[in-house]
Amino acid sequence: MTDHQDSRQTEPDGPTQAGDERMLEELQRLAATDRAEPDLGFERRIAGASAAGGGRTVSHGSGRIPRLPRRIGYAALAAAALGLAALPVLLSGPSPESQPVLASDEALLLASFDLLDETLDLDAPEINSFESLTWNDEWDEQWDDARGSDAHGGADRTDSASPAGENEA
Amino acid sequence: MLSMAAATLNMFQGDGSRPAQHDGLAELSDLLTRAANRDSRAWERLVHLYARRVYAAARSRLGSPEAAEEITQSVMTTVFEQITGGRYRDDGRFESWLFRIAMNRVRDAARARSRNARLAEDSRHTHGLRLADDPAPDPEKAGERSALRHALVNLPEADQEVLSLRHHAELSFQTIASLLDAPLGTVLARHHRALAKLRAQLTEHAGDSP
Repeated sequence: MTDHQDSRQTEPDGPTQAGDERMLEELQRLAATDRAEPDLGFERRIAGASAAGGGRTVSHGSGRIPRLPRRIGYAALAAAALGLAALPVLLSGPSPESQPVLASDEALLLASFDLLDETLDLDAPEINSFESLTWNDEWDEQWDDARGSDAHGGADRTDSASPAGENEA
Repeated sequence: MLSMAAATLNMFQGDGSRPAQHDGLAELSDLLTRAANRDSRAWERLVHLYARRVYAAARSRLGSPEAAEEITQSVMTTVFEQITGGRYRDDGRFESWLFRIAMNRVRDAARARSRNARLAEDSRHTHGLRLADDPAPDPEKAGERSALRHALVNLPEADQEVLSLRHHAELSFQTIASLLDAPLGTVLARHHRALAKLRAQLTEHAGDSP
């Protein structure tokens, strides 16, 4: 006998007792219906999701699929947005308008490498000291010359070896 | 009344899905030990023993299957984390602990829903609208079970709680007393009064019906 049945026995006799019993039976049927309501995969779903740290589940038609944690969802959305934004550039390369700017910057960079190359003896022992790399007036003039020559096609040096490469060698 | 109830307090109900008390407690202790060591079969067995009962208790209070499943998953996730993290110490009151977590989650969800319902109601009054997808409750059309469900959710929160823990979660009165931190006599009396209120509501509803 359960305590529930016991509680029913304590009800007073009379017309209300039959009504009480019917109501309790109906209440228990309702409870049983609610316990039986989830589908057959309910326990497996709950066990898996809870052991995995609680990714929430949502209904999708007759089945249910785990919903990704919100933070991962946001990160995926952000990554997708960045990827979409970069896609035209990746497919077509730099726009024609941007190419002169890029070429000019590259020319200046190469010119500065040339300047270092011509000015410094990369094999000298003092090359690694800080003082040997301190900017000076002579470099300033050569830098201005290099920029001037760049404006007249001096930047066409894409085949020149970089000093960095030499340094590594 | 109390002595007869007390004599049967800890018995599992004979629904065939759960073992008798002695074997049940031994099995539960073993399952908890194994689950703490991340034994997946032990955890699945624990979920099998408790998930539908948590679901039903939440379902009766919140009315929504989706909300009930979310609550169940949230509760079982917390239980898993506490057990495997070594933060649960088995003192023979696992059910009380688990359903206390469940009731706290249900209370939070019920209050959040109540706040949202008030906001929606205020908005409806402000704009003079009745939402098309929010029909007036009509338990008569939905049958006797719906009438009972409707009467249940109209009971005071404490009454709903004791009825859902007793009938939907299938807990003994002693376990309910433990998880509510209330004397056993108080729980028994509350259950009795809740049934009386439920009966009164159903009688009133039947009297209102043509």
